[in-house]
Amino acid sequence: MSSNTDEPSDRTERPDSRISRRTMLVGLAGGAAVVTGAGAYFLIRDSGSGTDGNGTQPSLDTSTGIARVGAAYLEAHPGEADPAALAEQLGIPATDSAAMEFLATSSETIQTDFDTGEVVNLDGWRLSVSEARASALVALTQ
Amino acid sequence: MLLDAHDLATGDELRTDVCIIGAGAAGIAIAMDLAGSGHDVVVLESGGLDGLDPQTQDLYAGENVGHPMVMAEADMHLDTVRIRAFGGSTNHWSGLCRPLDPEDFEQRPWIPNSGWPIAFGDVEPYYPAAQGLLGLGPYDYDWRYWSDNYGLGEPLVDDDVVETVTYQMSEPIRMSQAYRDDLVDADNVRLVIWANVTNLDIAPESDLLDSVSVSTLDGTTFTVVATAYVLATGGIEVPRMLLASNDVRRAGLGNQHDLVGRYFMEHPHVMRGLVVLEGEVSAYLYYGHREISEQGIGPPLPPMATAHGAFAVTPEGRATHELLGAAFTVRTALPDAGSGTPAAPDVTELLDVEAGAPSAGRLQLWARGEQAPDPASRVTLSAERDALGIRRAQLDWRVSDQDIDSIHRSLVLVANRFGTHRKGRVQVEQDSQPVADWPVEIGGHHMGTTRMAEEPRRGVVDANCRVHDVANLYVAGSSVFTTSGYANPTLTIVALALRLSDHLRNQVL
Repeated sequence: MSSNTDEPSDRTERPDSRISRRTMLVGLAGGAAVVTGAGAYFLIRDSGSGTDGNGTQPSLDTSTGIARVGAAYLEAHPGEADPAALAEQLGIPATDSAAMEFLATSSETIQTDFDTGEVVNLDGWRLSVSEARASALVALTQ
Repeated sequence: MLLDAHDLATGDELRTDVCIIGAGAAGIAIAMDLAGSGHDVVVLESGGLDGLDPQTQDLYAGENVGHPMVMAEADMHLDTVRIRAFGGSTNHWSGLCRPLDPEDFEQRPWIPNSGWPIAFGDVEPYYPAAQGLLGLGPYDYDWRYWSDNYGLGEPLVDDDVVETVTYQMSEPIRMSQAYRDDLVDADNVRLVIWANVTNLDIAPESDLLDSVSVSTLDGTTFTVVATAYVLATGGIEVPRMLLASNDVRRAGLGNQHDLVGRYFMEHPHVMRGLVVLEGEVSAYLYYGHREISEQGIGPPLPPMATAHGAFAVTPEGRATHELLGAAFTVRTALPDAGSGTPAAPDVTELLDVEAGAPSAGRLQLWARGEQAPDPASRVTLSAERDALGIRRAQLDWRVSDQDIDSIHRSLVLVANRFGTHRKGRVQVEQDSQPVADWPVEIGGHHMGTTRMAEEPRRGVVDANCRVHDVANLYVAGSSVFTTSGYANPTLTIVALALRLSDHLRNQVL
């Protein structure tokens, strides 16, 4: 009679045993290329509801993925749509190049954010506050 | 010896030391353990040796009036999620195994009705033998063992909040094929096929079963008289048989405190958690399913046996955050997976800048969660009767807010640890769907309906799996689980069955 069953779909994930590790890595890397290409499918969002503090819409660049992350952050935190204030919080100049440099070199800050719970929820994505703010600065200054 | 119940005559009586009812994972494990022991064993199997008989399988039909049972997006029913034939549901299981955690046995204040009357240490000695019966590798579930001996790579996340836990998979072994000859050839075992138990016979004022009544579908009826009886028919059929054996005790056997059938638990499966990996991906190897039998320096593994990792909140983390258990295995995500703004490609671009290298791709997390034992989640008898005149099972499966909320909060912890360790970012919620509405699938794991407890007022069987109010009736299988943990149950089912067999041999027979 019966005991139990496990989800049969588990088994469908088992790769062919003849596939080598190298093949798996190549396959995954290939997947990454598809992922990058898939960015073109997504709609570029509207500039959002952020303001410059004077009731006017700040100019948001959303032509890159990082800028879209930043735009999503500003939509959730419209009060932070101020390049100077964002730059001051991050301790960098209020330029897009400084924000990009911050993202490329501030892994410890980002890690600390996650460790201390400085995490934002952007449409389900758990991101560090610092990386989200740097992305917002990119969106505002690019 | 193999007996076909059709060859017996109505009124025949088989006498034996042990009568095992049901030849699934638990029943076969006990029969294999007792084969050659000198004790006479009768195994009663409702089905045949090969394949499904539709009329026999129909005996499993019943109604689920609770949460829908869905597997791989297909609606499941009581007669499709189980197999009523020799080997039971090991005829269609996936082979995924993992022992319970030691903490699963403990009373956890944030989980009502938790706490087994036995400790992990009471079961652990039987896990290695269970591994062997199920065609698994060595009894070692530490990723370091598999990494060191089979080159499976390093974990992505493994710290004091979220750990990498290991699952093993067997071929999956089909117990009907693997152990048929051993049982048929055993001098002290009579395997009776096409033998449906219709009643557990007890006299008024007695605390011992006198016999079990058995019938074929075409009406041959006979009895089996034993020193000890083991009910090993699965988490739905065990309570059904106890409740239906109500000719003397109106509430059924083992049910003086209205507990039989209650506390039904599944493992809710939730596909949530899209991961964009950050930088190098070699560690992903530890989380993938693949053949490893001929790799590494470790001992040869059984054919097709594998190991792979999953993410789980540590026992300490579960205590701190008052969580039920949950493990998150991974799948390679489809390129167009995900939703929302920012989209996954946007996050990929962000991480490419931060890592200084292209992301290796995306993964989809898949949760298997523990349920809090709920007395309202239960198996009862319906008014409808099967071809043998026995009332069919009715299931009312409940999934609580605590069950789903716990998976959600566990996933948030996993997401944060991906960030901490620079392994990626996780989209926890997708499609703006409220957590309470997350689609829940099943694992086909039926647990808790004759839960183990020291006190009869708290459970149906005692620490030796003996029904509290029937001195010679035992239960083998996941219906005795007091709590379920997040691990797939088969390995523990077999380990507990071997422990029961040990008890019968040393204390009863």
